[in-house]
Amino acid sequence: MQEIPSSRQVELPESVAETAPRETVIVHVAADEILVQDRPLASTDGIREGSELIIEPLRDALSSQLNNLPPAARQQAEVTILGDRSIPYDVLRRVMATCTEAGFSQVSLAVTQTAPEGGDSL
Amino acid sequence: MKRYRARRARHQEAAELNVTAFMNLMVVLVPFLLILAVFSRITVHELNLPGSGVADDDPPQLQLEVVVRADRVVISDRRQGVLQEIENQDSGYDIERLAEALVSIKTQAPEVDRATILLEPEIDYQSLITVMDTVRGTAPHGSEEQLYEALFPRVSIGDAPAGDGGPET
Repeated sequence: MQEIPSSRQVELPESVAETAPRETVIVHVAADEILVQDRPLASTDGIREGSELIIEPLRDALSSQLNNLPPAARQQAEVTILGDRSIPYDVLRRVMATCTEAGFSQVSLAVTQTAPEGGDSL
Repeated sequence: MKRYRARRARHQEAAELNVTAFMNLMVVLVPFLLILAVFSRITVHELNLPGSGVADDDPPQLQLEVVVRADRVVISDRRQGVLQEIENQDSGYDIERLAEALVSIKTQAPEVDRATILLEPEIDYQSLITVMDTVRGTAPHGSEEQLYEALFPRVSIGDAPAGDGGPET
């Protein structure tokens, strides 16, 4: 299981999903900016104003991440999106489209697991 | 020799540590740190992206779509059209009714395991995840029974068709 850094700027949505995260490239979508592997790339507001589906700086960063992967892993390259719970679907859609455009075929959405009221988590 | 041993024994006694103060500190510190610890765990939702190479061998007779709009959730079949519309409550989406509707669809078509969630651009991420939890079949607020287990675990995401809700309400 991968250790995902909890970030101050990103408040993950709550969910009851139980799949453990794997070791993947991480895209942070905070309320104000987008980061890949903790490197800021674009401002979220700027993306909302623009109309293009593909976010260029994000695609370039993801492509270079993809090139760092061993060739065998490139076919099934995975990316995990850590999105703030307040971001609109519009932004998320473009981030996901950019991920697939860059060659990442598996996209996961990170969430904070909440305990179902009946049972106990952890 | 005897004398030497006696002296050594006395020396060892003197070296014994008084740990009482340290234990007192620990008794306070351990519960304090436990309270501070955040018991949150990060998990992931895996998505079925369109064109991710999963071949559609034979399209199932039911192609379920859950359209999330600002004021309601519409459950529809790509061929039959709208199956059910669920208006929002004051507190937001009526997740319980959505879950009930999905369970009844699942009982009618138990072999269907995939669904598409279509969203309007302004829907926030938390709502997406909540609806996704419901469609997947994990009860949203931990309803007593695990009744909703595995409804439609293979979820895709897409854009809601423009216009306000397709067929008239």
